[in-house]
Amino acid sequence: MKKKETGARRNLGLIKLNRMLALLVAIFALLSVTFMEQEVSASGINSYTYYRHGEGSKDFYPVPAPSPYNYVKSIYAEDIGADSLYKANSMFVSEKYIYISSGNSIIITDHDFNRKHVIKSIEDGNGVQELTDINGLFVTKDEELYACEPQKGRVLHFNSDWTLKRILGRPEGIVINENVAYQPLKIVVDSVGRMYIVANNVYEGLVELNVDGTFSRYFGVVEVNYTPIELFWRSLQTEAQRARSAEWLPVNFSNIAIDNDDFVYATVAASGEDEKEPIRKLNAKGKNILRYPSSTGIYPQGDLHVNQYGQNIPKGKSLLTAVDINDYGVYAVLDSKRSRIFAYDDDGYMLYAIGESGTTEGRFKMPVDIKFLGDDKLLVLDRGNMSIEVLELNNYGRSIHNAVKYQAESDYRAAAEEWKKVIDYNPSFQYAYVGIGKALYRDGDHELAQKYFRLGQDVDYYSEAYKKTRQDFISDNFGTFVLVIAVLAVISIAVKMIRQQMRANKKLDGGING
Amino acid sequence: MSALIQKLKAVNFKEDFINFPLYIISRPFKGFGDLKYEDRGSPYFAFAMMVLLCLFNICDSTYKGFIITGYYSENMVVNTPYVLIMTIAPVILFVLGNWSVTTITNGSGSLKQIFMVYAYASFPKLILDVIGLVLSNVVTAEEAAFSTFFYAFGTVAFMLYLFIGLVMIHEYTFTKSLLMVILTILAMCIIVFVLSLFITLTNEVFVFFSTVFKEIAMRF
Repeated sequence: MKKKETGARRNLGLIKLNRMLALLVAIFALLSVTFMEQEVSASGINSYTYYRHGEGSKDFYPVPAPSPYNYVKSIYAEDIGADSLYKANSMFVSEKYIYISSGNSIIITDHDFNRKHVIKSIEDGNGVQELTDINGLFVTKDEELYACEPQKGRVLHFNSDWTLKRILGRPEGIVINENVAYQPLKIVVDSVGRMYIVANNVYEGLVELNVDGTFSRYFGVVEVNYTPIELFWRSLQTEAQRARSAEWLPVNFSNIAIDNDDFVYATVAASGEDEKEPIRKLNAKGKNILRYPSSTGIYPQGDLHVNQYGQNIPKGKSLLTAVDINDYGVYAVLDSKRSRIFAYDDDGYMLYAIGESGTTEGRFKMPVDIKFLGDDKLLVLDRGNMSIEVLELNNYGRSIHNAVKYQAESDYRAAAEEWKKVIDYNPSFQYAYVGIGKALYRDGDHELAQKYFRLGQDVDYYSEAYKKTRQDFISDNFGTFVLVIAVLAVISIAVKMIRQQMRANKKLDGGING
Repeated sequence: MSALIQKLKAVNFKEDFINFPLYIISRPFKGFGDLKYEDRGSPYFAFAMMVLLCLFNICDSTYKGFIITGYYSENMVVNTPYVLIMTIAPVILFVLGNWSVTTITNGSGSLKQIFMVYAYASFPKLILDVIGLVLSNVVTAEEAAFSTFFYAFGTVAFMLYLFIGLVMIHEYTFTKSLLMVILTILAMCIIVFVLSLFITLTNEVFVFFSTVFKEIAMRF
């Protein structure tokens, strides 16, 4: 009896050991899984892509996606030796340095945020002047800094050693009302040295200045959009009513950036909710040439699904206030209304949306500017948090960017490999299927390409691939077609002849019988 | 049951289902006149037409080409009851609406005749739509117009034949027929309105009784 008991106890002990082992294994497995996942999804940055689910052009739904960026760190004012960043307006990343405009100073750091220089005052012929609130910054290829000082109505141009080169005041020959102050807010300079300026209260478009600072023309004019209903009501109004009702002004540009080919990207501060083209890519003529997928007709505009009503929460379309482009045509725009960042590729397909409002890591309280840093970092200047948030691409985001880069270089096969990795992380990313389809199409596998284009919901490319498969099908089976038609023709003629013969016979029979 | 089979056997399939519909397509005035005065055509064809229309609409939402719809789903779900109702309801609505208008304005067509006119008028539309559906699977994006053309042409043809049919069976003048069409649409709207009113009010009554029942149930 006793022996049996000990045996049972030993068994029990064995079972316990086994259980412990199993538990350990399970814990290890769990840990390894969580560590593996950390690569991509543990960054805590809210992210989504739009998924087409339905026939209508409105049937795009946000689906959660892994974040393409990991949160790295926040840079606060003391880290870069500034007094504070609560008046930070914009920043610029040049080849060597990062420039941050913060209140009445411009802070210059290297790419690791070690302070190099601070500009607090300028010295011109009239003596030393303290800077007032600095807004937009731009740095040319030769490290010459342009800074907008809206309160004094001028643009400051610095040499590459950060001494003052010249002051560009109210440009000669500019046609604006005398009592309207000229307030430059944002500036970009093209490779020749022409300046494009977003100015406050100037509704004619961007102010384009010649290299010598004289006024050249208004650039990229934003036209006023009237709806027929608005026009109808306006036609009913009396003169007095018209004078009292709100003025119809063209929408203003909110921010600009320039790419390597001197195309100016501008975001429109959408005062009108029906703004159709809130992001514009302006060519030398000032015409908007931003590409967008023609198969869906969805223009890059930030959020596609927005709430129109709500109290204490943002409502209405995205308010885009900053834009930046990287070397291979990926441009990111900042929606300051909902603290989100949207990235698009050169063709206007949305790559990802990240961020939300908040104070924790990877959220933005009051973002005012975004800039790409190097190949894999994104800086978000957050005035609300008084910090610069540093985000770094993780494997998922890296793959997306690589794929777009390879596509821009027309290396579709390499792009397809990257898109496959993207799909491994996020199977609901429809654009990735189109990317793979393009590679297959180039390799001549039209039928499989068709399948991928269909998964990517891209009618245009599908149609191209289908055209090829149809062509192949017809040329392969042309002989069979001809044969079938010939056989059918012969049979029908034969049937006709036999029938005629039979009828004739019948008549003949009838004739004999009758 | 056996009586029905007997009746079905009496139907001249070739005449009612093939010859007469095709005859109407080629000579609509004469054809619809024959429908009224010569008693040609069969209500069975009309019912069969309704079934075919339902079938076609289900096929349409299932097999329409990706290039036309612009949207593809691996596991497509078609809401069959919804499609059926959306096919049958307009027919019932139109037939009832037209009948209720024409009976009070001395139209001489009967309910059965209106229904048959509707069915025979939708026969060419069905054929054209089927062609459009087949084409939608073999066209590229540039040729998509060929497919959509057949759909659009089918709708136009349907309206034309329906109008001619109504002119013939009601023995109206052209202008009066046009007026009747407008009145019919009005009548359809009224029917929908009354129906929705009825449903809402029934709901109110139902809620009232269920509340009373709940109150009583709470008490005991």
